[in-house]
Amino acid sequence: MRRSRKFISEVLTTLKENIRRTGDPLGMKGVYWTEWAKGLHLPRQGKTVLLTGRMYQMLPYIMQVTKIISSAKPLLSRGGLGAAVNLGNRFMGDKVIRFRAVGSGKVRTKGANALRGIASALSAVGEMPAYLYEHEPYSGVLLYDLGLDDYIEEHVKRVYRLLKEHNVEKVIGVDPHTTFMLREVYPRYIEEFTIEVKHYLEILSENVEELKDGSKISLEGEYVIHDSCYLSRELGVIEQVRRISESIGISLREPENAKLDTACCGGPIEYAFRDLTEKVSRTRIEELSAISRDVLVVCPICLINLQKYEKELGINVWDMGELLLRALQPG
Amino acid sequence: MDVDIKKLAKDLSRIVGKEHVFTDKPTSVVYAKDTMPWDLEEQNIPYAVVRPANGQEVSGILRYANERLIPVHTHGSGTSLVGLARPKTNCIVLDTARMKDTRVYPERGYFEAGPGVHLAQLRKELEQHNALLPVFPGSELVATFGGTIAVNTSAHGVDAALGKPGDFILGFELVLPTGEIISTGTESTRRPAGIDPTKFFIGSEGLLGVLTLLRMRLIPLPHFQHIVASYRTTEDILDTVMEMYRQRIFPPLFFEYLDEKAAKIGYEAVGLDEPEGAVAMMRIHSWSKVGCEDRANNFLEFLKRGNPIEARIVDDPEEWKMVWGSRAEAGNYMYRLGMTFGSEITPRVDKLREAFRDAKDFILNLDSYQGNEFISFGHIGAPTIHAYAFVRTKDIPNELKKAIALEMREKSEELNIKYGGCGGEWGLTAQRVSFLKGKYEKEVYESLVKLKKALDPNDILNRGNLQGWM
Amino acid sequence: MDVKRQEIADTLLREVAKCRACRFCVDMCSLYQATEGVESMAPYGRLQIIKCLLNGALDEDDPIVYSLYSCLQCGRCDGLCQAKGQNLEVSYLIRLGKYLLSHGLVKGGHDEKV
Repeated sequence: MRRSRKFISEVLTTLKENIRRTGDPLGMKGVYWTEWAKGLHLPRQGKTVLLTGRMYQMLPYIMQVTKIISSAKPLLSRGGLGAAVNLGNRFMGDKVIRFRAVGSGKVRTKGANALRGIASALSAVGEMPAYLYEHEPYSGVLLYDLGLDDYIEEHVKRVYRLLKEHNVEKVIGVDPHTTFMLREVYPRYIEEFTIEVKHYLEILSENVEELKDGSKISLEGEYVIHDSCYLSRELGVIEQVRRISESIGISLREPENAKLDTACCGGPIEYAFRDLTEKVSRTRIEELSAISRDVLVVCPICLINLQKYEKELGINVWDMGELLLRALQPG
Repeated sequence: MDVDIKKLAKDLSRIVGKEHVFTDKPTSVVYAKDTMPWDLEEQNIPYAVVRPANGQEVSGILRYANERLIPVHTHGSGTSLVGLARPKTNCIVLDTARMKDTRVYPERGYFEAGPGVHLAQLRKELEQHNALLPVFPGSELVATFGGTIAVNTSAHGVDAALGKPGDFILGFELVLPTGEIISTGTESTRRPAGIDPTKFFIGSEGLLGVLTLLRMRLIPLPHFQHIVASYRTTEDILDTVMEMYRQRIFPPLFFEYLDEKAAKIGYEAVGLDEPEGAVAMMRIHSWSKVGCEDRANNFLEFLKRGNPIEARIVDDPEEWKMVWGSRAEAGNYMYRLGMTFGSEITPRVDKLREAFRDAKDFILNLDSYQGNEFISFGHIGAPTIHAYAFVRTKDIPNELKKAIALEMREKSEELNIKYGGCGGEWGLTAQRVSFLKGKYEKEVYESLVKLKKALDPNDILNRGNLQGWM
Repeated sequence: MDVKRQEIADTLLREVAKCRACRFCVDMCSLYQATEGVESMAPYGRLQIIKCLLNGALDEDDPIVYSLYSCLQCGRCDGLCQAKGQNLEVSYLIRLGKYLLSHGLVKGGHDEKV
């Protein structure tokens, strides 16, 4: 509790500055969000665009920074996104990002695979969105979550202008937070918001037969589902997860706190209160791992928060995107 | 009283650990605020909130409080409806939330639990052992076991059908106001006869000690059957209740009613067809399945003799969920659309009609406010009338809220005095002291004061509740 | 306070006044559970803190920031208030509380205390 004000103040100020200066919450100038798409040759232009919001791609940097800063200044030793935000600002996207800290490689791979799986699945059901590559914007959702409403309008308008310049009419979000931001928050700031916003699970769910047909193998196994707070409660995407899981052959088990009652992974406050996050995420992962060794998540924040426990509890935490990739492109 | 907060924090930290002491005003305010609609005043704000883990730490806190003469106010869920929860004087708030461990001993026939466990959580754990938690408050998501036994509320259960939760308590570990840790009662399933001190602490409303471990007999889960009946008027339901007692028919475990207005509101809110008139809903229980059906059929026959518009057994659990839910929805509607000021009137059974008429009369003719509505529902089989003054706006000045609440309290207690009852759910101190003093001979209140002084000579524990302070 | 913040403050005061401290939202909150039942770490507690902040009754920064910013915005409390309480969008109100607080916290933004 002590020095909460000072720390939060630092993070909020730096976040706002990073986004204003570079459009990116980590404040990094270098493009770090396109690596996953290498070799996919996704079209660069199109009416429908895949919007990653850079969320999966941010994960390894958050982890790296956390591990690097072990004996650094007291405030930065909080680690997590908060430190990453601060550090990004200090190093202005510098070489520190090229450090390969232990563990971040795995997360980088998982994130990339998740995105590739999602793109693959969309293609299998006949949806071939374009990808804006280095032009892909960050949605600004952290500004909303942290109450930085005064700075939202400028960023939202900047992003909307960019999308319109690329003639985008429809956006397919891959993470709950980005999708929520575009669907629910952007229209509050843009008078004639004419972009259709869908979440990839909504599209896949409407086309489960094609997805099934496109799957090269039927995955087997029992997974316990960890519903994302935003996906379930804000976007109402619940049954879609079940339908898609069934179509790729996995059987889902429901924890007691599921669907609209899902319990949070603790991720959203990890940037500031790691001890609290640890308690929340541990409670949740213990509930989940008591049901199955394989945990299925549908959000990058849940992924980074819960995958920490893989070694300790002998479990696997999978993003839906990873399972889609395995089903559609085994080996 | 001049208290050095920094020193207080340091001293309390030595007893419970630094992370379990709060002396900041935001935390103090959050703990002090209760369900009463008027704002906190200076005297209600605690110096500190302290969160002990066990009886030893509670003992340390109370010994310290006695040395320094600082009052201690116990905090369970803060949901008391007669103002027990709000501290009446600047004090240390003792939060029981960390004392929530539950252990079920099927081979011993009992379970033990800390005072801070929430009833809904406890119910879930007991159900896993096919056991019943014998108390049913609407607030069970957050109401605590300690608070429930300290008030000995039967909430919306009909006492004549099951009794009060204190009836099933076998013993306690508790801390006296002066800090000594004692244990009472038995570990057998047979409760002691005679002058077992357990009895003095059941329903003691936090005045005589802090309960730190409660032992309760395991009761098997009974079978249930449900009945719903509609009547032309509320008075018809009152007559039914009076007849039920007069004819010595075993009452249902739950016997609720919604008056004409509340029934319309509640039914509409859950998506049922508009009822004709007032509605009564009952849960019959029995530890025999066949017996339960038999009891339900017999009770239905009894109801039908009273000329309801309709009376039937509800077999479909989904339908029962909606019928039962209409009660909560009627309440929600009022709470959301305006301000409600409640009462708990529990008359002598044969005076039910008169008490209801008087309640309606005074509520529609308040001194402190004109233009409010009258609405009523409640555990009529107990018999308890919850009669409400409903004001269709939230925009009432703080002082007026207080005035209406106090007038409602005063006048409804006058009815309790007049018609022989004294509530069965909310306790007898804090805002109820006027009843205590008005109903019984002065020696009764004086005995309570003497008892309090004997166990708590420095008036440390929940100071102001027995006095009836705000 | 500028117009927009004043509007938000008015909305908050009006909505939070509807909270009748029934505390049904408390038990389900992940932070309440994580702290073993600290009331200021529950949705109800956060609303009370916002109320006092708006009424000028509280000015201690660290506990207030800690209470409001530790909210996960997970939305679990909303369902409970809708079903059993006052039908308030609790998590949204807490987020608005963060908005009001952020002003005193962001350097280069307005530095007024509410």
